[in-house]
Amino acid sequence: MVATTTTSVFNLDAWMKQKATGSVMIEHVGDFSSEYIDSVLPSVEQNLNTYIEQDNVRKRAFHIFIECIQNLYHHIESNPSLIDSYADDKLGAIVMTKDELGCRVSTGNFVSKAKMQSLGQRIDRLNAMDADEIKQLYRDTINNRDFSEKGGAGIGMIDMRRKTGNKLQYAFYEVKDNPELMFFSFDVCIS
Amino acid sequence: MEAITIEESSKTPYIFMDPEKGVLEIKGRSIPENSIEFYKPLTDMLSEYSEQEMRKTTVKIQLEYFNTSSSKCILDIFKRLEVMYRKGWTIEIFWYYDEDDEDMYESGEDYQSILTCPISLVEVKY
Repeated sequence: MVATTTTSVFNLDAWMKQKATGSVMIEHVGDFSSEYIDSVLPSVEQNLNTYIEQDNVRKRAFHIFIECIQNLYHHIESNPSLIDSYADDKLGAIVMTKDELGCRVSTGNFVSKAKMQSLGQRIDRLNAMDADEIKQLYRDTINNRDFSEKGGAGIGMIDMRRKTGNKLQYAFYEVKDNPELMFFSFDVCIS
Repeated sequence: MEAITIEESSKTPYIFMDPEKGVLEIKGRSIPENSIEFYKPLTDMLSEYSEQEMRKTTVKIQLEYFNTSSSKCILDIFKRLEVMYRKGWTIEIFWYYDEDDEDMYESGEDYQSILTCPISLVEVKY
């Protein structure tokens, strides 16, 4: 089961705790400014050097981490003020862990309910493709699609699916007292 | 036209372009949040360069990491070079990859598959 939608009340602290298993290389909740990303990259690289021996896996994991954290930079839009302690105008979350199965990057952000279906369908389509189909889609997309208004190239998820060879995992959680928002939980495994 | 040099930073690569010698080099990491803005001085220069007298142009790209938005900007640079190639310019593109970096090798293959302008994939042993 790759995708889930749950109607349970969403709790960000519980989500973080659930994701932060194994060796935690980074965990952060808040805004994702360019300055924050600058500040965190050296320690993430240092942790990857500590936890991952194989050069190519370590390099791939860092690449996926950059795509994930920059997705948050481009796409987090709001903070529904669920929890008083998170006062940032924009709220997202990231956790990167390593266990015996490999490395995992988990991200979370709030999306409008209207976007939920198309986002889920898009990931489902990528997960259903084989390696050759993904490669071709990547090439077609990079060649034909323009940058989005937010400056993203729209190929991050295709690239993550292609480079890891693993299915992208996601879930949507309903947000208490806010019927227009969903929490989008997204996981990429690098093994 | 004068040469431009952009020094390397933690998220952006070293860029050197000498229009008189027909040399362009991009080396390092290319992981900025706003790749279009970063590469604009270079793409602007290439537009002007392509209006100059034809000359042999050598392009060397050696990247450690690049994000997906940079991959699109690099393709844009290659497409500008391809237009020049189709007009009769001699364009040499060298795409360097570390010997065990399968992903960087595949990226070079991606560009080869999209472009008609020849790209040489060069393994770097260490």
